Amino acid sequence: MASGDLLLLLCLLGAIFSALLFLWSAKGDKKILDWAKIAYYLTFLFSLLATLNLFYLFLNHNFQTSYVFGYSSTDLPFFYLISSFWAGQEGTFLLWLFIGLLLGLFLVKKKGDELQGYVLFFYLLVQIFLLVLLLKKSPFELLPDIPPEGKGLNPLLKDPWMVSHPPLVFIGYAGLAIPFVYALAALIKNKYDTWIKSSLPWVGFSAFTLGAGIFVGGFWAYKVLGWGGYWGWDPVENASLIPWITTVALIHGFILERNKNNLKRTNLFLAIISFLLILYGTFLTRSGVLADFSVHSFADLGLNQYLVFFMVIFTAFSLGLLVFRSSKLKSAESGKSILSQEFIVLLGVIFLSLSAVLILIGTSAPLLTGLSGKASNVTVPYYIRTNLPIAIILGLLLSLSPFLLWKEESVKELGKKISLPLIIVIILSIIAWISGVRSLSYFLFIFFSIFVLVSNFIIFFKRLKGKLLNTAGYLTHIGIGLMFIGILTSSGYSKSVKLNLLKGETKEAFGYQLTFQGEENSSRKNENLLLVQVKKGKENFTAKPGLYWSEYNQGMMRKPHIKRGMIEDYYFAPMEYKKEELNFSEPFNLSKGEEKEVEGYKIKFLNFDMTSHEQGGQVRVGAVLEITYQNQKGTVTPVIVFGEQNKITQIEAGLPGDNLIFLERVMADQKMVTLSIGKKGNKGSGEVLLLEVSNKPLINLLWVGLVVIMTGLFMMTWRRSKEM
Amino acid sequence: MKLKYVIGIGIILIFIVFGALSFRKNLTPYVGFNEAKSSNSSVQIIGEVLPEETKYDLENQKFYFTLKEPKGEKMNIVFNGVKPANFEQATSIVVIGRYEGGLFLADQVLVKCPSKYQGAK
Repeated sequence: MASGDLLLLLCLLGAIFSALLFLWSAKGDKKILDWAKIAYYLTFLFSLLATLNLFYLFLNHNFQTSYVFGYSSTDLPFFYLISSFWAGQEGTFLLWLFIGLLLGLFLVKKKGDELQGYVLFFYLLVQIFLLVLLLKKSPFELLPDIPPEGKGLNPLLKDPWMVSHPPLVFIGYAGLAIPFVYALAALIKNKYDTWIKSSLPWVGFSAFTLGAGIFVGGFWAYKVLGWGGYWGWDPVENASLIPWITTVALIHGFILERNKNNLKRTNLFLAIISFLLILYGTFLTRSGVLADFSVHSFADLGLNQYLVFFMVIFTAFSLGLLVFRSSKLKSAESGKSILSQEFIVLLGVIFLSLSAVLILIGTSAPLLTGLSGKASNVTVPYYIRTNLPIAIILGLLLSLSPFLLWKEESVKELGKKISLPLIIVIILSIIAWISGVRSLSYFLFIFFSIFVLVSNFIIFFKRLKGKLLNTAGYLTHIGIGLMFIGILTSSGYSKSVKLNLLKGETKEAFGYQLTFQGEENSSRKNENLLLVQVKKGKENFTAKPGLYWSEYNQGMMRKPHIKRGMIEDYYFAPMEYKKEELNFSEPFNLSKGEEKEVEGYKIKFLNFDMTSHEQGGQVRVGAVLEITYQNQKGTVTPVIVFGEQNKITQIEAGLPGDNLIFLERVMADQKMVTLSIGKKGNKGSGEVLLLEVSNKPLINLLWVGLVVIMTGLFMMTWRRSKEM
Repeated sequence: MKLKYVIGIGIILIFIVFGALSFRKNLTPYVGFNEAKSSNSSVQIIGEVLPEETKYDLENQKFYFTLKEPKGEKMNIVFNGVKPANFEQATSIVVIGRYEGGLFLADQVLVKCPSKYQGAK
């Protein structure tokens, strides 16, 4: 047994023990509570040691550990070695567990919380679930022998953004267990006056971290994947979006309950369902059930029965408890008026929930349809068609909300307040219409997005005189307005041109003169970049999109070149690249010192070049040749590399007259080499690059909007944590 | 009070109907090649690639390939986009689109690979 497994086992025992003590302490025994806390600290310590253990194994390149072998290699820099930790499923479960137990320390430290015993009992049950998965499929599993080198990290993950994406998402996942367990504890105790205050900062915190994780993931996709978008409605993406939306709905439900003592049941339900949706998403994306429907194909680790078991237990218990208690849960009578903050927030909760339900149904389509026949998937337009009207309605609600108070209001009063902003909105919308937003649904969408922006902006500045933290809501909604506009312009009004570029030829797109200059060998191994000269007036730069074969992924990687701009981005994505076809001469042999004339070249084999002949299991051999061509003399050195598993790579050398020479075989004992000449110059067979150039108008509004939203959520979390 | 409930429930009902319609409209069932050929709507098919019949038409920027079902049935496919990554290594290919005039017009091509990219998400 690996030491890490032992730590996980101790952690599990500690968690079970601690959970039972917390349950016992819930009756009010202070002594037991102290013991429960000590058990918790020990549990946390074991998870910390297990986490450090895995980091240690990565930093020491312990390839006997299957997980370290599968996701890292000796050539990885420190930074990426750290992120290999969460490159695979087992490691992410450990990360999730560790963050969970870390956040739990705050719950343990809390004083005078009457729900504490139950809260930590349920909280530890969640961690026990993760520990069982971890012990079933451990990241510390050993291989029978020690491989000399690891498989390496997926090149797609070698990106600073991707390093931070998984931890952010898992902090969000871990954090969302807290409102869940508070809801359960409140239901068990049948006391509902403190759970909201205690869990609101955590709801904000989770919305912030999970949201930031989703944002970083989208930005990474835009920057690295080369398909031109940032969101693909793939099950993997939806799995984290759905709980985020319900969490945002929960924030608004909490606000309503605090102000109007309303929505008691709804809030308990939303707190519970947000966590259950995380479990469900984990099941969908990690069980392999969607393998035929997602661009990510997930390996089934054999955890399905455990995932399903826990999902069923958590769901049955928590929803059962809610139903059992719900008859006694009375919300206050809600106000009569439609024109009140109360009703607007209520509608907001309803529509956010609707959006979550619709995305959930779409994501689950293969399972739902599989029950009654053939498993079917829904296409992307489903998500857009159903969410666009919701976004328009949310836009309307967010436009009115800043002008409404918690008390009733008359249409006349409201009309007075919104008349000035409305004029600005109409002017801006006319500009949008002139710039080309003509379809009705898009126009409504942009109209209300601008409206959201303007109304929240006005009230935000009015309120700035007071406490800064109190403006968090307006700021977040300003971000929503910016994000909505950015999404529409960058995806709905992106234009794209596909160009066939022969090497040396110049073509025009978006006013840019594009000239394909050929391939450049990047400093990174085997990652060839394609050079495209881009000119427009005084602007002159070389775009370097990449299109290369990845050994790790066994596939082509497409890396875009993005020309960032204030108004719009230009996105250069390589789509196909055809190398020049060569005409090969008959292979010929040369002994050391021998000279032959082939294809107009006098070639003399001088000696072998073995200067750097062994590195990482590879053997490199070069043949130093003296070439005489049109009375000019020079030397060239074609190389042959013998890699692992009999893999042979030839590195050709250029000849004068624009031809190439290849080293085909090496017969070291006879001091002889086999060479061949590849001739260029066939008409119509030259290098061709198919390049897609597209513009992404106002995409910066999207990124700025997201940053503003995150800032707002952070401020809200800060404010509520001070009230705790 | 009553009015609010009516509005609320009304909105939810409208959306349920609307959602259900969109769901049905955008649902693409997995079908066999024969069924795909007689179907008028968007479907999803799966098969193995015949490498010798794969070609990329650079001029018109169209990607042609042929899939084979285990039964031996073939389907010629045209995709108005680029060859997806990992195409050559795929164990099987999933195509979403519709059959029209002897060709299957692909909207989306998904590649199933033997290697496991375990999403870090």
